Amino acid sequence: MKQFEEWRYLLLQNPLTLIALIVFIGVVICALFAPWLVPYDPFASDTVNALQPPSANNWFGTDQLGRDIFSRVIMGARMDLGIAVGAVALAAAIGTFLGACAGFYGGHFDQAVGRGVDIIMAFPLFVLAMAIVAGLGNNVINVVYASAIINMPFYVRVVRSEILILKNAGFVEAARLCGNSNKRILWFQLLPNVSAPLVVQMSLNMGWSMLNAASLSFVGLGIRPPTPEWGIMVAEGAHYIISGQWWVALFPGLALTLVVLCFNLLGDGLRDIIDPRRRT
Amino acid sequence: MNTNLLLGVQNLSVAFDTRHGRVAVLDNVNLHLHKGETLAIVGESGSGKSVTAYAALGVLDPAGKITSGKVEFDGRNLLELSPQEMRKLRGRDLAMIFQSPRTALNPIRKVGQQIEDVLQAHNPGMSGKERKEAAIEQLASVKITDPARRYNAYPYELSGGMCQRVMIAIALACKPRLLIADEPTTGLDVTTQVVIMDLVHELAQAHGMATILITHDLRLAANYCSRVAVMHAGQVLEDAPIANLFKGARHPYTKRLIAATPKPGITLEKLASIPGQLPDLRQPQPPCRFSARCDRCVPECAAPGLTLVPYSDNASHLIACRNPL
Amino acid sequence: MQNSTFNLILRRLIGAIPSLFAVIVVTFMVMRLLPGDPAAFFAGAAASAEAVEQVRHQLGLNESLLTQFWIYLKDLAQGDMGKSFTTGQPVTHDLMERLPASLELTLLGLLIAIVIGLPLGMLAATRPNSWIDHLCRLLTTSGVCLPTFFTGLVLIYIFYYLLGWAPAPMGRLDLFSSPPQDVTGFYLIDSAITGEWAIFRSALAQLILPAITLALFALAPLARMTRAGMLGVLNSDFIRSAKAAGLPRRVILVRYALRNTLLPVINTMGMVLSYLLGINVLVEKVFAWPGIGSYALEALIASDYAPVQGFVLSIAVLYVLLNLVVDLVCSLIDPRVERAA
Ligand SMILES: Nc1ncnc2c1ncn2[C@@H]1O[C@H](COP(=O)(O)OP(=O)(O)OP(=O)(O)O)[C@@H](O)[C@H]1O
Ligand SMILES: [Mg+2]
Repeated sequence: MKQFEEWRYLLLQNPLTLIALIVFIGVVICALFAPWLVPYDPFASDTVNALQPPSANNWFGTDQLGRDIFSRVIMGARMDLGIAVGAVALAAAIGTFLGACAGFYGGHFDQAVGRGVDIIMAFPLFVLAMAIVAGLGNNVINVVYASAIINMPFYVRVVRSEILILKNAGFVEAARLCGNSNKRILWFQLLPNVSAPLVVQMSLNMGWSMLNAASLSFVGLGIRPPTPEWGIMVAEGAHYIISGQWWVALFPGLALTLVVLCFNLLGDGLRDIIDPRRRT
Repeated sequence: MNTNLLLGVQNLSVAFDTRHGRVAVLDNVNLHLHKGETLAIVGESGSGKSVTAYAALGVLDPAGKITSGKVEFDGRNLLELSPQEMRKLRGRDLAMIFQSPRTALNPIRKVGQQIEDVLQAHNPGMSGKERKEAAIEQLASVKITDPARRYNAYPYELSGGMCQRVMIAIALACKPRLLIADEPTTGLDVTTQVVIMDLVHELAQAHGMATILITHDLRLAANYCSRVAVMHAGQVLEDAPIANLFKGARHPYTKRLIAATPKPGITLEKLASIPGQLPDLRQPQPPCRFSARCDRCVPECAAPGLTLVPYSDNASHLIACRNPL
Repeated sequence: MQNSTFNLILRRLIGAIPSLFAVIVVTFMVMRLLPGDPAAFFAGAAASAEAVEQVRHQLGLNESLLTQFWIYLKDLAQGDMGKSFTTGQPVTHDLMERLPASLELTLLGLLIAIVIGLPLGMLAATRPNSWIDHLCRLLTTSGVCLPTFFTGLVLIYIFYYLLGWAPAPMGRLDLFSSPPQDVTGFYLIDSAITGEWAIFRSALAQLILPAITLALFALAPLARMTRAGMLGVLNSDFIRSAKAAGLPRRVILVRYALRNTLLPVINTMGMVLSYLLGINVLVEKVFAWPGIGSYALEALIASDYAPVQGFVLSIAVLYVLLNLVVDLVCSLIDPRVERAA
């Protein structure tokens, strides 16, 4: 109860975070219930009504095949959000495991992990993601893997440095004296203490992962048309920008920007709440 | 009035705006210093010694505001000067040596150049060559061996003692009339401490410079200064010539401070400590901020209007206490 | 002095070798991960069975992985990255031809970002809570959220379609100009050298929108880091002692604060470069820019993998080299780095 009071106070102190939280919940609802929310079938083409500007019937207008852009934008939330969640979850799980072991046990394993992280970071990350998708095969699941791989170094680094600090704190010694094994200490004593910086890192990473996923599909990797996805929709709209049909690209682009902005605000807000020292 | 007066701080109050609201750090601080005199400001850590010096020099953090008072230097109120005028005074007439010599120097600039920067700021007419010679001379004057080579050193290449010498060289580059030395020896080993203090003392004497030595070490104050001002939680509690103070401290806090100073022949167990801790300045404070820790506290202590007044008839022994010893 | 600088450069170059090697290994591995028969891919879609077999032999695909890697290294050492079947040219040739276009764009974008981002971050730090501070925060928060491909399209819509100020987003020059004489491959520099100002203007007009698109993205991390760094430096002891010594405000800000702020900023420049090189691909696609990014994308769509590998490798090498430059600049500014090395 007290915890709740504190959170409420902190959220009211940061109105931006609160707004971001509300938008975030809205986006999640869109993603989960999209099929029941959309006014039109996002795949149904209607070539007679192609490229119509926004109107009372089609709030965001129609695209080159006459599909309702509003419906497609709503449906699009699913793909990018799904990929980002999958990638971040995978990256966080593997990254935390590797980082925790590296920090806790040190030695050769630590060095090997450090080398691996360095190798990933030696590439411009988006280009590495492109290469991985091209290499593994051009499909959605590989986009998730690629995003996870380029996100992983951040988790390894965060967790490793936190574990290194905690390892030398008194309570590890205390736990060991109480007869806990190394493994127990690592997973039950240390890891819970890392969760705060981990959550912050994850929420900051979500926006970036969404941008990556959309960018990959924009250049034709991963998700394929006619799937409603924001990157693809912007790519399709790009052809019509120079002839003035702005709405085809604008609405999916805006949706993407808004969601990424909301993730970043949420991440910043969470960091301020969890770790007031690192406020900028 | 007194033409010999060099620095007069009158009723200076400073507050900081923090996340927890406004903190009144200094409360009506009064200090005075004659030409050529050496004054020590003594007090526990956090008693506002540095803040007093920063306020006088106008180098407070942006969060700090001077809420009242005057700082008179040579008859001029420094707080009313324009930033330009103040800048010209700093370094030329008023100089300061800081607590931590390592961090007080620009880490990526040669120490010789840092001395030159000060010379350039205050002697625009000097040629580059003259400046360089003057900087090397300045390094030599603080007894740095091989000054021409050390001119090219970066702070990280020098020991703490060496950095402090450089700081002194920077402070004295323009022969100021007042030098404020803020705990110039913290972080240095004991032998270096003595060497640095002797150096400061010697140079101050040689230039006829008035000096304020900020320290928490009463013995240091006794060795190098003629008068001591005792501060506690942003208030000056007692201000007396050094002999008077050791012979007959009148303020209960000073008495305890003296008792808490290590002396030869007294073991650590016997050393008295001052009970309680500095009050939390975020809370409203009684007129005497020491009263909560004081065993001589009487009901009058809660009355407002506590000021420094001469003790009995001795005009040079000032004290702010309602129930002095 | 000069000798020590030279030594430093040499040390850093040697230090970069492991990263370069790692980059080559990873690129090689990615190539081996390709689904299906690499030989078929390399030979091209229309190749006959013997041709595929011949390519297999050429590539040494029948050998062990280690031998194959050795062959790959040897080819690389000779500058051979295979052949593109869409252009029919050696990949190295194609890449070298297009690299200047990409570099010119990236560097101009970075330059714009630096010229705007550094002063903005500095001003914001020296005047907390002023309008410029708020502007800086707005830009840094929103800058990282903008999908670059989307920003580019918005700019095109506004400045080409609505206002008509910018030329059509169709490459490096308008239809009526021909490229300047090839010296550096950078049209701006080449045309300036030969004094062909009409070409210079055309090249600049084409460059400006894509460069701004890149800059908008790179601006955010730069301004953010500058602001944070400057705030930290302004609170440090040595700034107070510089003030106490009566140094003029300008000297304090530039000689004392700025140079100390630049260190962390340049140090994290690697991250900005990583973004920029990645984002470059997107911008090249949006503006039909004939650089290595759009070359790789075209090849990717056509399942022409040799150019893709060549592209990944050269971008990664470029990144390592640019990081090397950043490192060097850093150690030239900071005397402490040199001793640590
Ligand atoms: N920027 C600031 N913001 C808020 N409070 C401050 C700030 N600077 C100083 N203070 C407060 O002012 C009080 C006096 O600090 P000051 O540095 O003057 O102590 P001091 O007597 O010099 O102690 P020390 O011997 O440790 O140097 C402290 O309680 C400190 O918390
Ligand atoms: Mg102090």
